[in-house]
Amino acid sequence: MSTPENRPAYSRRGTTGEGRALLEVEGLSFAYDTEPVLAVDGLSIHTGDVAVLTGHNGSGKTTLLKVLNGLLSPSEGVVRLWGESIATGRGRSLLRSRSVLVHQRPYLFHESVEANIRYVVKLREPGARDIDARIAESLAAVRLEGFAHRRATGLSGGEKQRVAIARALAVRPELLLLDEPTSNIDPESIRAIEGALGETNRRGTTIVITTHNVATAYRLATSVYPMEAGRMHGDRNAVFRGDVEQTDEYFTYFRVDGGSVIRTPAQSGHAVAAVIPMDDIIVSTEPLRSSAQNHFRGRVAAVEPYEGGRRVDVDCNGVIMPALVTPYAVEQLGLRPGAEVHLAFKASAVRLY
Amino acid sequence: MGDALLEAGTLILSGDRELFAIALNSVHFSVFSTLITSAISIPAGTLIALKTFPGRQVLVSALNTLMALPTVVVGLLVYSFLSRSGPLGHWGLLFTPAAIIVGQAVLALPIVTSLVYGGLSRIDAELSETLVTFGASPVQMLFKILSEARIAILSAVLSGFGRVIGEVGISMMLGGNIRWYTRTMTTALALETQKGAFALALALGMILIIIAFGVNAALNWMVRREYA
Repeated sequence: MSTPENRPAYSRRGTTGEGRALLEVEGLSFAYDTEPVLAVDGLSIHTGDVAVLTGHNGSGKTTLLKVLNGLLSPSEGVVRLWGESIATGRGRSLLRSRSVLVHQRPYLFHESVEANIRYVVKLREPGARDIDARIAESLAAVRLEGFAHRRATGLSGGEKQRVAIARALAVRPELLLLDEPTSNIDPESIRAIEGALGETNRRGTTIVITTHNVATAYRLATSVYPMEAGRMHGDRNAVFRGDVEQTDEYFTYFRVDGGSVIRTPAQSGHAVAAVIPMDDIIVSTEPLRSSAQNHFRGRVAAVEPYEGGRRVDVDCNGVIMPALVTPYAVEQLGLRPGAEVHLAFKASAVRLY
Repeated sequence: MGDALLEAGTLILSGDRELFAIALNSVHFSVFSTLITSAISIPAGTLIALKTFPGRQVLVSALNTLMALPTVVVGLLVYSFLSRSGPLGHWGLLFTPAAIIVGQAVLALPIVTSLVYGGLSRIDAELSETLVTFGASPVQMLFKILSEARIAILSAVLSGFGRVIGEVGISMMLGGNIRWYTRTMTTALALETQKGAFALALALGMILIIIAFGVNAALNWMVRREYA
């Protein structure tokens, strides 16, 4: 179950929120010897989600990922996959037949790229007849066409990471877990990996990624979970998916999918997500006359406790914009569902990824 | 000495029958003893590397110490078992090729076991986790881990071969340096040198060095091919 405290606020691409979660975590803790390194009360990931765990080294994200893949057994708590605890035989066999974890420094077998992929497909599906097609397909997904006969261990760091991801894609997992897939590698490999993961997700694979690369996180995520000292927090950013529409002398105009335009300082390049700290969105009952370049009008859809404050979700022509305010402000402005409000934030508060 | 060197070259190039019979004996004994050792050491080293059990660290330290086992001590030990009054005396193995092979196998055992263990324990933890995440069974994991460590295992075996083909003590004490029977390159070399027959000694020395060099070159070639 997602607790209201950590459920991310923003619009998601997946078929989220409805039905049974694909992956659920409850009351999880993990300790090395007696040193506790992980304490996650609840987390639920639905089919089609791209959940991104962010945080510094030692924040517990790799440990959590390994617990989710059954490579580490939690000291307490339960991980459920399609409702089955992965500590049971049934749950374990679901995990081993439908999920794969890719390590931060992946281990590639000392053989050709093709043999690496062939071996794991045969492990999963001894009778598979379309292995050659899968090898070609998964290498194309990470843009390594023509690498089939190269020695896997002689490749560059970025190429190795792409081969490891191709190898994981070849078994067609329904749940793909990746530990820092884009750290310490070249920009071309980062683009190839992000492209492959985005495409895989569009075809229905649920993905959980750890990363400290903020750009990767916001380009791919349907939900971001910051982690600190083994605990999971709610993201304090509002994320909007869309496209850059145009750029003039002063501003770049980012068109949110299905809705309004957000102004940001003029910048070049492509972007798929606009990210705004929820604390920087000002809620008012009257239109503001200020330096803020982004103004929206809408109705309050929900007010919920969030990360020690109140999150006010405002429906602005179909796009939900969340603002983080104090409980006092909720009282003072009379913010309750249905109330008409104005939102404002500075162009410079917006980051494009 | 210059004359002896020339004569040694002639012995080798003319394919001297006795010289090559001795060399063949040596290779023959060493290959057999290395095979016997490998059959025990590869499974043993694998077990020590992949399983945890009480006394494992002590065992590893003991193996490391035994790597420096002097050949004459092994010779003495095996001799006491195989001599007429020893527990296995009735087998009548003393001063036969079999005795040399047994002695050499004992000598190489801790070396190969320890090196197999070392090679397998240096393998990344990520390998096991990768195999687990893709759903490999314990048997499939074992085979893949051994296959990934193949160069380390091969180099352990070749180190064992290198140790036994160059040893004198065991061949001398257990084989007795019997002409056309248990005479090896090292025992012949020692004897010929004492007799002052430097030509044959030098020829044997050259062949020994060529074999050692060949084994090393083959190993290097494989390592470079593997990690290129």
